[in-house]
Amino acid sequence: MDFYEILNWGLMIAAFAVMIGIGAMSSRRVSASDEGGFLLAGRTLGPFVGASTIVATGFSGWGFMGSPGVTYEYGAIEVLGNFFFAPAMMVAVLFFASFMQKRALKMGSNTIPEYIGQIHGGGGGGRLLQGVAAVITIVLLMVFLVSQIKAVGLLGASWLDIEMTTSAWLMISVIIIYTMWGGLAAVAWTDTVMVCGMALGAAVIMVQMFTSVDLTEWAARLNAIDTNLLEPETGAPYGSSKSSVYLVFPYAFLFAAVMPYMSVRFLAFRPDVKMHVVGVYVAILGCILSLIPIVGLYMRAFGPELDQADNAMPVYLQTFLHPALQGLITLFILFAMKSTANSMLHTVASATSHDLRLALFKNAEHDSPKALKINRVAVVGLGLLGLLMMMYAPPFMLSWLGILGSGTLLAAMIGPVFISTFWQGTVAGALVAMLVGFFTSGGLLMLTDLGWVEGPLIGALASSVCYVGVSLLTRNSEVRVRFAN
Amino acid sequence: MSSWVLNTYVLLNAVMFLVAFGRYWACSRKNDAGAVR
Repeated sequence: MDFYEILNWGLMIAAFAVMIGIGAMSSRRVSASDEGGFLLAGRTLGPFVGASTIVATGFSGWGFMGSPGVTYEYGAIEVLGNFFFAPAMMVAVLFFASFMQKRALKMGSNTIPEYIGQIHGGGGGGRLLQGVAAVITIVLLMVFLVSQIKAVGLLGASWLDIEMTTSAWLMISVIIIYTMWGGLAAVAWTDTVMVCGMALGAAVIMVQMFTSVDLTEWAARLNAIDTNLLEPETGAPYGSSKSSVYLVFPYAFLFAAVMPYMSVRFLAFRPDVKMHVVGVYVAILGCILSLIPIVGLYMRAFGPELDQADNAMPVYLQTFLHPALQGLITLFILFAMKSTANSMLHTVASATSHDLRLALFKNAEHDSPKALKINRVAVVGLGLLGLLMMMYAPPFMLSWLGILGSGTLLAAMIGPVFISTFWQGTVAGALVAMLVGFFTSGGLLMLTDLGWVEGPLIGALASSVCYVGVSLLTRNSEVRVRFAN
Repeated sequence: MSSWVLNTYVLLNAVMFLVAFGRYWACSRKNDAGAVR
């Protein structure tokens, strides 16, 4: 084992010690008499921690590994496409979060499926909606979680020179320990540490790139390879028209406002937190992290030729950075992946232990030591299930279902989560909207050539129309049933 | 380095910060006025 391998192990052990320490500290927020302590960090997130956890979760490992590869292949259009996630998260925070937070606080919602059930009147219909939303969340996010575990495992294996399965076990065990211990508070605080590391990594990379070359030469080299890299004539890979890239903005907005593992953070803010302060932090952090894909342009102009565009970031680190910095930035990339994985694990676990339990059993215990134990057992059980799925599921299936899962979840949730915050529909409307969004987006992604942005947006439109249409048609009959009961 | 995509990227960054700090300024002023009343 050489010096730099020992350094990498040292960095990993130090990072894990910090995270488990944060888990132990945040367990003080967890109270056996209030499930909100575990599920929503006791609604105590301040502006910086809240903004950090939103940005860290939104910018997954894709921003560091996948996006530079797409930029290497398709050019600067990916820099713009990836950037849209930053303003989209900021707009969701500034113009949506406080509405949702106030309604959730008033109703006492601890999760997004519970919010859906309560905002549609609670009772039997509300429990049905909570159960359906929980099942959709578990199925689609579990697939996501498995693909994140695999990505973390692969990167960790090459970083520490160990087997992929051993690496995945190592990385995920730490996430399981601190999430089980401290719930959402542990997830949010570790995300804050990790997003600072990610921003530092982005800054180091930018300094290296922009101080090492002349911009005119950079542009000349890119234009000599292919003029489409800087002046694309189509919107590829987002679509055939140049304007296709702008569709990423509404997609990313809905992703930030509607995805259960993103929007649950709005519910966890301290009630007195000013969202305009959170918005400024989100803009700054988002701006820094959105610079990362520029690595793809740098590699295309100055790096060695790559067989696979996806290797743009790893080869950049090996070619242009000192081995010690290379190890440190790989740790920050692992942070980016882990900050998304821990949020998914927490959301899937709470959908199983809290939402499904309350939906299936009318008199299920909540706000009790037993409920807290069930929540913690769910984190361990689902984390281990994710690891086993990663080991035995066919690899092609994981990436395919991962792409399918994100957009489909977004399309299914737009009516019951987003529209309902401003205009309350009926139970039937919410149920039909979730199913129509699920099948339209899923069908378009599986059976047609539409892109990963267009399919879910059409699904979201169909779901929204159904939510409003069916709610208007069934409004009177639901009121009659409530009066009769 | 001239490119319509990179120019749009820089422009939208500026718009994002304009909205963020504009909203911050407007809401802080509103809060201060509320506190004085």
